[in-house]
Amino acid sequence: MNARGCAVLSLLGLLTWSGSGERSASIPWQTDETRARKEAARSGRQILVDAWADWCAGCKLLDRNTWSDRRVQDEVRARFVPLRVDLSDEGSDAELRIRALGVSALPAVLLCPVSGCDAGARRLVGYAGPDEMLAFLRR
Amino acid sequence: MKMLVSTLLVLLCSLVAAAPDERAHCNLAALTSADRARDRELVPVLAAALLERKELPDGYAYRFDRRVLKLLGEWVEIEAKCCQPLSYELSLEPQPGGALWVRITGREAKEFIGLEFAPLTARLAAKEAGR
Repeated sequence: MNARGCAVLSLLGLLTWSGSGERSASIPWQTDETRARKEAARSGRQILVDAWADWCAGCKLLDRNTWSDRRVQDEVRARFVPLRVDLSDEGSDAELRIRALGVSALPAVLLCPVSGCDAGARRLVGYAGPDEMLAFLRR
Repeated sequence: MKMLVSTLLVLLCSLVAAAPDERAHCNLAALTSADRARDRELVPVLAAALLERKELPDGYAYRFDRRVLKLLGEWVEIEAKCCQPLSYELSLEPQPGGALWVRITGREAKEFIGLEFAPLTARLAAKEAGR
C-alpha cells in the first residue's frame, strides 16, 4: 500500500466510523466467466477475479477477514463484476488460464478490463486484509 | 488532534503494509503431483505424532514424537516450497529424550499458519477437547 492510499484510508477512518467486522449483503460472486464478461460489457464495470483453491489457506482467510468486510463488499458491489475461479483441481483448464496470466501463487485477485484479462491485469497476490484490499481496489 | 492521529495512522500503515512478495501465499507452481500426493500421505502420520502446539508471537511451534524426525523433514521440505514466505525451524533437543520441534513463523502470517496447518492439529485439538 502506498502512503497516499494509507492517508486516504486513515482520513476515512477518522471521518467515518464503519465497523470493519460488520457484515452487509455478501458479494454476489459469479462462477461463469462468460456471464461475467457479458455483465461487464453491459455495465461497463471491470471484472474482479478471485482465483482460489480449497487447499489454499490464504484464500480461506480472504473469505474470513476480507470479503466479509462491509467496506470491501460495498466497494466490490459498486464497481466490479466479481468472478470466482476455482483452481482446486490440479491441471484444470481454469488453472492453465490463470497461470497463462502470469499468476503463480494464491490467493490472487485480478482486475480485468471489460475488453478481457491479460498478463498486464492489475493484481494483488497473497493474503491481504480489508484495508490493503480496499486500497488496491480504489487505486 | 485529528491531524496527529491521522499522521500516526499513515506512519503505522506504511510500516505494517506488506510488500507483494511478503504476503503469505501458496505457490501454485511449486509442487509436483508427487509432492501433493506425498503431503497427503504425511499429514495423517504427522498428525498422529503431534504432541503439543505452542503459540508464538509470529506463528506456532509444534512438538512431535521424535520417531517421525525423517518424515517431518520431508514434510517441511514440501511445505516450504508451497507456503511462503514463512520460516521453518526444525530442532531436536539433546538426546536421548529431547523433544522434536518445528517452529513455523512469518511476518503478519500467524493466522495464515494456524489455518494452513490446521489439518495437522485437528486430532490433537479433538484429544484435548475430550479431556
